[in-house]
Amino acid sequence: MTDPTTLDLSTLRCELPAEAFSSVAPTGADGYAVDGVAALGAVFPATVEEVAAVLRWANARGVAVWPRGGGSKLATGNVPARPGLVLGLERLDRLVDHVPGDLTATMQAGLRLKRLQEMLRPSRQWLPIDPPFVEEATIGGIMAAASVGSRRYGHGGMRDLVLGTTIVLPDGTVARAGGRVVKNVTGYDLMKLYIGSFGTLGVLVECTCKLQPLPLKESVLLLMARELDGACEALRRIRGSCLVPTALDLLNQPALSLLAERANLEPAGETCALLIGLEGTQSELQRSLDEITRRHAGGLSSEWIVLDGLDTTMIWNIIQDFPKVLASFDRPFFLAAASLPVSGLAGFLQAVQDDLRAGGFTPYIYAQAGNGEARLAAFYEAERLEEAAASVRRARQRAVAQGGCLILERAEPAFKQHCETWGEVGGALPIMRALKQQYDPNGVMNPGRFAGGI
Amino acid sequence: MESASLIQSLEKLLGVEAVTSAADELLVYECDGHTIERALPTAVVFPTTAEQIAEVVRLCHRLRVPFLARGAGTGLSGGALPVEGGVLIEMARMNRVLEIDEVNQVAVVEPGLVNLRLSQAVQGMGLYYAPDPSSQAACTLGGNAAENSGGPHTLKYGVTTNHVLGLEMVLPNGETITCGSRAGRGPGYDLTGLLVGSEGTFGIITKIIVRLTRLPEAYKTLAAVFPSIDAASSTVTEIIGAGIIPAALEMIDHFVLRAVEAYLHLGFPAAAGAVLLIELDGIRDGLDELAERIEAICRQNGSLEVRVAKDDAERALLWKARKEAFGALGRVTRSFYTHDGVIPRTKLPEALRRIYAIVEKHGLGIANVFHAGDGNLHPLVLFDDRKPGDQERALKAGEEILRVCVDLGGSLSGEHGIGLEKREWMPWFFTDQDLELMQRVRSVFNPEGLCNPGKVFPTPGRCVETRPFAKAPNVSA
Ligand SMILES: Cc1cc2nc3c(=O)[nH]c(=O)nc-3n(C[C@H](O)[C@H](O)[C@H](O)COP(=O)(O)OP(=O)(O)OC[C@H]3O[C@@H](n4cnc5c(N)ncnc54)[C@H](O)[C@@H]3O)c2cc1C
Repeated sequence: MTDPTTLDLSTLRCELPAEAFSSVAPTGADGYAVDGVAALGAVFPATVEEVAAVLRWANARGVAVWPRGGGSKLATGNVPARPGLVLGLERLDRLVDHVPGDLTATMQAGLRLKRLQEMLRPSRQWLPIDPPFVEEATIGGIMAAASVGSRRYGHGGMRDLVLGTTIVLPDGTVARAGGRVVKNVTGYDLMKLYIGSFGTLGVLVECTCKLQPLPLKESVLLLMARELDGACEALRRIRGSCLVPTALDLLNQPALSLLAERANLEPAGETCALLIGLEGTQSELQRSLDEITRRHAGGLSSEWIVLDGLDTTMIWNIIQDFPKVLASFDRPFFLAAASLPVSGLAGFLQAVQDDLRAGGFTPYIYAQAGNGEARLAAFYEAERLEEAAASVRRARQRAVAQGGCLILERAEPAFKQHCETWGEVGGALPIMRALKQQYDPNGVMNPGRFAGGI
Repeated sequence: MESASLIQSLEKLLGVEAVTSAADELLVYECDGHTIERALPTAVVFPTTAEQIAEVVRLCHRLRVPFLARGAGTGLSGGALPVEGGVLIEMARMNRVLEIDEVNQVAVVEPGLVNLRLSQAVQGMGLYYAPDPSSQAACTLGGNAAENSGGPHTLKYGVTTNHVLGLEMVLPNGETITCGSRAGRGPGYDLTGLLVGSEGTFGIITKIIVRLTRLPEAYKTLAAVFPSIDAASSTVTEIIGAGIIPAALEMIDHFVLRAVEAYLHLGFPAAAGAVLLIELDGIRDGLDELAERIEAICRQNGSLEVRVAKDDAERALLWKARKEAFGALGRVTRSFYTHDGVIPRTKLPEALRRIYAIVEKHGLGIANVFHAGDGNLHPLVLFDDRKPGDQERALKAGEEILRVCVDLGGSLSGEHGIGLEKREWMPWFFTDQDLELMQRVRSVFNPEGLCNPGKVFPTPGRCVETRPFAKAPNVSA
């Protein structure tokens, strides 16, 4: 282990060009600190060879490395075990290859998703994901965090779209898995291991993904409901019908009013809402809208709003940027992501909402309900941190009791002392540790931040 | 260890009726669908519970006896080829549907369950299991998970890995792990995703949680007839290029067509060089529009006829033609060798031209029936096993075909796996570093290499150029 005060970067400086030591992107006031732990320094390699050089250098010295894409999801994870050297991927931002006729694209990890979509648009194609952080999210970060958004319901997540990856291991080895074709079983599917590994195995530098044609038409149906219960019931009916929406989201009243305010909408009264994403031909959309509002929405308040065209993008962007919306209030808050079988969602959300309310907190709930994923957030006064943390722990117990799990996505370091980030991993933890050991025997990649203390 | 005492110990664990060791009975298990190499295990066991599997594995581990699982043995890359002197764990008796969770659209099954049985079990609820290998009436879900199998409809719905939510597996040391859940993933690495497609080399899968899919409201099934396979493959490239992803997009060439025609009497014109079987599904509204666009593309590419299935019976007949193609071929050709390679979809016309040239050079015949929309080729090299040298030529042609796939930016296998068949060609596709990392991952699960040894990776020290099939072949169609 290295004493941060004596870390000498001069030997690394010999191996990399001078530009590699300055970022083009602005950083926050506390630089590259993660959970209040200051970074040892930051490097921004421009090539895969430079990434390998940095890793070899750090690995030989036992210096911790913190890979960083757009920096949007660094709040997820245990407080770092020790200070690390930031390895920023912003210079590895090329679209390496795009073959429109094959509907595939190969890109470097530091490429921002937003930029990628802009480059694909002239071919009327997109990478069909909409994870949090519209501006900041990079391809590498989205993979590392297995970050998903509302339209995973219809299009799948990175797990379903990544065809191949290149990773640089701590010892500098560059290793590829998968390929560039849409169907391939040559060799083990190591891509799955990397997606959601939060930078603990190596540095992802490149990937190839399946693309989709842009939808012919898009609508969002915002369906108001008086109670969570009724909304979940409608959701179950839609899910059980032959309709194929691409998103099935649920917002409780506080989350809905936040959305409405940002989107200049006026939802009536004290309600929650289902947010249903539809894509396809005009006749498909019409049929879905008719059927949902006439048949499946029974029992809800009869109000709905249909948004088309650019308005749909605006709505999805607000949902994607919810963590930023919450952060903009400049008050301490937590944001947790629960995942459970859809059948248990209504009961879970109601219980969690009641629990938080009973504690005097305002619960913000927005859920990719069709997939059984729910995000819970609340602001709290500094002196009530422990109570807030206790309610998240109770929410986790409830999720686990339903066969699900809960991950703390964002919270200040003090909060994490009272509520662990990941929850119990279970019996497969020794295997996970052994995998980590194979990839990173010196324990330099994001040490301590992952599930089970990996 | 003496085989006699190994057999005895197995019989003590499972009972005499669950262990087979008689030489003539073992013959059934000497190979899978890849019939070129053969080997006899010491015993085949038929466990009925995960606990029995764990006991067998613990015994093998203690005695350092190699073992592997076998599903239905329909694998085409030799993945289920027994290890001489080892134990073959036959999964056939572990074929129960443990739970159907209709609301969550999830099923929990034992791995010996036949793929099609699951879809049949949930049909009444308006659900099905989407991955549909052409062998689905025989192959098991355990084999599917091990191979990450695909099928015609995986073009739209994804392959096995996109439908497996969780697994229970007995590790090669006899311990059991579970990963994933019906809620999707939990904290930590995605072991479920890693285990699917590991070709039975990480352990024995004992339980599978799969996602079920809602049956579509409507289908639109088209059979487009083309004068040549070239015209048909350009059409495939254009349909995908136009941003249309049908549920299925399958190619059947004239040779296969003639074989199928002989007993299904579909009435396709004699001049047909190839047929594209194109299926759209979803809600009824909008399907006609899409079908019209596809028909227009077919016509622009010179299609002779586009037939639209008018009812379920006609749809079923068209699919029968596709799914029974292999069987039909068996009636008109002495022997054939099924290959599985992938190319980028835009390279389809070029790849097929090069493949035809290769087969012609070797003086052999060829038939093609494959998942065209995915660029997943299945060239069937036809030969006569009575003619000296014919089989060697068929193998050589196959090797050259796969080389073409890799050179065009594709891969060695789209769905049949590497197994024994393609292990020596892995270095065409991966560097030594890539392969070493994969083997390190395997060592985490299978450190002593007792579980399904000799598969997936090239034999150390063996030259890549060496012909992979060492034994005297005895191929039947
Ligand atoms: C006519 C025909 C058509 C085919 N069509 C297709 C197709 O369209 N798409 C496609 O993908 N494949 C196809 N195949 C190939 C084959 O059917 C698939 O690979 C199938 O998944 C194999 O299943 P199985 O039960 O027969 O497995 P087996 O052949 O018995 O075994 C395959 C591998 O899986 C392992 N395995 C089996 N069970 C377990 C378990 N419980 N735990 C761990 N490992 C296990 C075995 O050790 C072996 O390595 C076809 C084959 C034939 C003969």
